[in-house]
Amino acid sequence: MDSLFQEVMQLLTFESILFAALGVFIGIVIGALPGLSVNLALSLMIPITYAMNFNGAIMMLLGVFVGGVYGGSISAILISTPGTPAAAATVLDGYAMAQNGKGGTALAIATVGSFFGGMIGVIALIFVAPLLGRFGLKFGSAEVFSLMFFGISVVVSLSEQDMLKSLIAAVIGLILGLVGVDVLTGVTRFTFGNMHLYSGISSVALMIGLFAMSVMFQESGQMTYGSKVAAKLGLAEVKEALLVLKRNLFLAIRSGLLGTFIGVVPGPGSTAAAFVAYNDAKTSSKNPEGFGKGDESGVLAPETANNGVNGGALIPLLTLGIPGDTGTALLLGAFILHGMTPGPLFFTEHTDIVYFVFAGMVIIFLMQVIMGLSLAKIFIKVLEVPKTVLIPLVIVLCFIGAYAANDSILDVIIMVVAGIIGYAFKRLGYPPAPLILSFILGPGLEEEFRRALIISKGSYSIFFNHPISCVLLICAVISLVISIVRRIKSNNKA
Amino acid sequence: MNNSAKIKDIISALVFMALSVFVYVEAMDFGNAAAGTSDSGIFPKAVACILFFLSVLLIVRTIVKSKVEGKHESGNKDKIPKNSIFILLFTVLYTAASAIVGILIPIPFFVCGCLLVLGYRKPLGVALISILSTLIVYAGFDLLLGIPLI
Repeated sequence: MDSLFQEVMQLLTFESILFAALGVFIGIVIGALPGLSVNLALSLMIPITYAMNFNGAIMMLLGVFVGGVYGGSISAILISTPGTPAAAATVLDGYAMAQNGKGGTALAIATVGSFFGGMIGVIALIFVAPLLGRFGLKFGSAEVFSLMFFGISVVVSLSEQDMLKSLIAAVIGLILGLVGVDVLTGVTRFTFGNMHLYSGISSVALMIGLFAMSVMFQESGQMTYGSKVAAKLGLAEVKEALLVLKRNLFLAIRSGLLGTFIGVVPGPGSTAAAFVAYNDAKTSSKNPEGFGKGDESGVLAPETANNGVNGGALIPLLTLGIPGDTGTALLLGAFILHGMTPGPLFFTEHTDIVYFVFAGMVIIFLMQVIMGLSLAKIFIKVLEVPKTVLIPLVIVLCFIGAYAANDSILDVIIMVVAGIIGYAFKRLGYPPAPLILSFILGPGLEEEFRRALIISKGSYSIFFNHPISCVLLICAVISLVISIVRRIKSNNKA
Repeated sequence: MNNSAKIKDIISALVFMALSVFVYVEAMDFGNAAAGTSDSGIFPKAVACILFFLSVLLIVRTIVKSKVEGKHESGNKDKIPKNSIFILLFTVLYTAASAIVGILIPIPFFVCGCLLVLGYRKPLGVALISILSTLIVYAGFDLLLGIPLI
């Protein structure tokens, strides 16, 4: 235990903490800007961390991940436009509070609530992840394949958009993941003789294209923000926020746990968590008619829940290699890019890294609350940057980001094509999240599928003879069937 | 579901069908599996078949839906905004230019073009933002992170 502590402390250098602070700052700034999501922030930052060492890079990206979710609440409260989808529920009462002259208090409640929810998520991560990690050791190829299949099926079935189109997007992701040299046989597939494609399509270029470039194409057609409400965040507002937390402690704990639980389940993510917690707060309130008119718990509950998701989503990522949402799918891509592949063996092979992530998350949430309260003025100022300036600059970052990973113009071309596809997907109603998830999981899925077949000498029964694998496959089918039935019912009602 | 959405769904399904056929045909050259060995083509073929099936399903669903719901005219919201088209065009031009002269040199021209298209009307501001953004990118990535941009 002592040696593990020493190893973690060696990773937790001053430099990595500095990068974490930078990540939180960048995450809050990007998250605060409407239209620029956590996913965009992560996809822009991943190539920048390429030249950095692993611990600095991961701390910075976790900082962006955490800061980005929180940052969305700033614009939700001040301009009635959620910076990120996760802050959509915060608009309902946050903006009403700001209009009532309590914008600063709403910001302070969001900050304190985010920290509280985040810490609940981290505590769950610390206690649950090792248990799940031990369980993951029982996994062979059939189980890992079934688990990945389950992960993709859940993301598809819980997609808010058309399920058939989500499935198509997931399959396209699998096809894109096929490009390159087959690791089991050495056969080149879909490379068209281009050596740059032997190692596959650059995940960084694809991520930037789908989550940043496509958003910029879309945003350039919608140039206006909502009207801004002035707000002051001082000591009085912080004190008031703490009193709100004290008054609603049980609700905050419940929302944090709800967020954490939703985070563990692959698919729904922080937006769903925020709305579930908001509804829970409203239905359990003695004054439900006050919701939507500036109720403090209407800000506290969704902000606590959507930050609880962060810790929860890291549990399946670190223990099983299954991302809970798009943000963690991008983080998984970053881990792989830096030579670490989370999965069932990650806990035993890289225990120091796992505990480093735990410690890092605690530090990051502390930084988030400190920055959120002390640098509020800067973050509020960010909302004054006009989109006319912001869009070209973000696109330039997209170009450089795609190029930086491999110093390759081909990656820039891939990024632009992915951006155009992402934009077309948005307009045609195909969600990009299942595509990127199956693109990242696809190569592993195929490898484990074929390994399992080699072990079973070509018999598909291996996936059903192994109890864990069989249960996971049944769960995958059930999740898809339930989703289909639910949609048919809602269509019939409409 | 309006007419334009139906047509878009059918066209996208046809594109995906074509893609699935292409993937399947290509995968036929990846080798066949002997008993107990691994075949590079098995997974791409399976994925291609699934995509083909889902595309057919999308077409069928779109046709059935259109018969049930009747015809609706599409509104203006289906049109791609002019700004988006110009930004897309500039992006393609930038990519083509960067393949010839490198990634850094076209940046000021790209930023300048985008600013003007998006409605930024201060000439000095346009010049400053275009040049400064290029310099910052150069300093940050080339000098600081050691990523050669020229």
